[in-house]
Amino acid sequence: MPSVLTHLFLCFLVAAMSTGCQKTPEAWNSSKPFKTQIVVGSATGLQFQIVELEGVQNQKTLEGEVVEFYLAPGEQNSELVGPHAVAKFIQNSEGVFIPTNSLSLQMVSLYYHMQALKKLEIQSLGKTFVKWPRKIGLQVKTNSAETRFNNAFYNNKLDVMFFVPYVDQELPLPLNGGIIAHEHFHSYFSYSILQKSLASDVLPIEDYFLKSINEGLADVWGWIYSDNPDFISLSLPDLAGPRKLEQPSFFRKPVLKTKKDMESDLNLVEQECKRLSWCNSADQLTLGLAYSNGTALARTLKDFLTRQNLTQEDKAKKIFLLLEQLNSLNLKKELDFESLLVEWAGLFDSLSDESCKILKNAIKTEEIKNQICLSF
Amino acid sequence: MSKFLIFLILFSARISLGAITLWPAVYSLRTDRDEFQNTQFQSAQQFSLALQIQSWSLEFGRTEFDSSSEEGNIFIKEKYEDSILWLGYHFKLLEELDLVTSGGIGTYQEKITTTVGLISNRSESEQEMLTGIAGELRWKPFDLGFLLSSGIRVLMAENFDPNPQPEFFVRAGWMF
Repeated sequence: MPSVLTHLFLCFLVAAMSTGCQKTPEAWNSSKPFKTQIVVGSATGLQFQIVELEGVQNQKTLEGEVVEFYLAPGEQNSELVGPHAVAKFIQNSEGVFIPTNSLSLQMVSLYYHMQALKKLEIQSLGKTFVKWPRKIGLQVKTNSAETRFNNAFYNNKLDVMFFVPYVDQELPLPLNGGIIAHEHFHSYFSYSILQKSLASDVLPIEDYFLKSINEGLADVWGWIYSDNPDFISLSLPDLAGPRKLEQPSFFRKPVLKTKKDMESDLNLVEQECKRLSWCNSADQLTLGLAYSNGTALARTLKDFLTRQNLTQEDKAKKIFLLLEQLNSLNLKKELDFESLLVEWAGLFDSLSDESCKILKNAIKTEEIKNQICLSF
Repeated sequence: MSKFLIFLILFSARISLGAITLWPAVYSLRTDRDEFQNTQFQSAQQFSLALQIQSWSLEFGRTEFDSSSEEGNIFIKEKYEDSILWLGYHFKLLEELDLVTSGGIGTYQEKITTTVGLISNRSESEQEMLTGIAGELRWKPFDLGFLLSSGIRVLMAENFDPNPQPEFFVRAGWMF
């Protein structure tokens, strides 16, 4: 009997060892890039891509040099509070970490795009502009019915990018590189412009003007990063029409608002807000107009920058220059998209006839229009 | 191949030694964590085959379950499979009731199918090692060969979350 038991025990060992003898990929540690699979969307469609995430220190939370992820975070005493999001992977035979759920896929995609945006920032400026790692909240819960789903926003008080749950049937926002770049740009605007404007009393018209520029430049940044003028429609197809940066030639007409136009807008929204029972402040209606103004500005800039035949890095450098220029303006005196465009055109060493034509076409006021490309 | 080897060894041993037990009807709930870190229970399909010699038993068990996650046009399906060899000792509590304690070693594999819109991609992990301990109450009424049991297993592996992972099961089988 003992020899039978010994025989059985040996069989047990053989069986156990035979199931264990497989080639295993090399164990990952934080000194190596984190190889993973993401999904990239472009004008031509979606595709899987194996990428390397650099500076990852924790395989579960993906904490590292680029991003810190939070799951459904909140705010307490002006601080971000909440647990870190946790990612789950399997590792295939080539050592690539494959996300096993939707949240993990969103985390690696976001890390990848933020990594690329950080590189673009350093290439353009020679140094970082905002504080890294960036903080990102996922599956964020909001009280507002309008922003509860299918949205992303930057909170300048907390310096955090938030993504709410996505319930549509298209590409979720955390996988959309253009939208990530758009939201990330708001941090640039906050660091350079809003800090200055928040320090002093800002009139409603200045606030409206700045919101419009913020949204417009963010759309341009989204286009520069993704190389897709229609990046928004990958996730939000209903917004394709109003926010697409490609405009047919017959739509190219003076689109930028003057100071008078903006004052008229603000009067209208004040009256409208009084009429609507749910409206507590005209600001709630101003934002919609700011998006519209921003798109007009973005389309003009996109056309203009395309004609300049610049690389991605050079386009990015120009946008940072525009921000710097905006920062130096006296908003109480120079509060006009048209005159802003003239200021920005002056930042370019040379402008083609086509470029000058694009800028002139966007401007209504004749005397301002005549200032464009005077020196060329 | 290795699983076939185990089966052959068990079957050849049966001819001259103890009793074989088949467990075709198993209901098991394994604890897992979803992407929001909430504990959830996974119902798994299981099949087991065991050889008992006096107070010892050697059991081969196979478990499979699927889970999925989706948002927007992302759909990720995970298929989990494990094979575990258990060595158990039976403590006779009553004539018809045994307490079985076991230790197990085996491997598991996960297969992921990621679908985003119209594109799809399949990946699988290598076979990863896992170990476990189990405690089970086994009832064999009227010496008819029919068996009922209920128990708990605790499984451990480097990449499990949670780790260890408890599993509760109820099963019916037949002893030959």
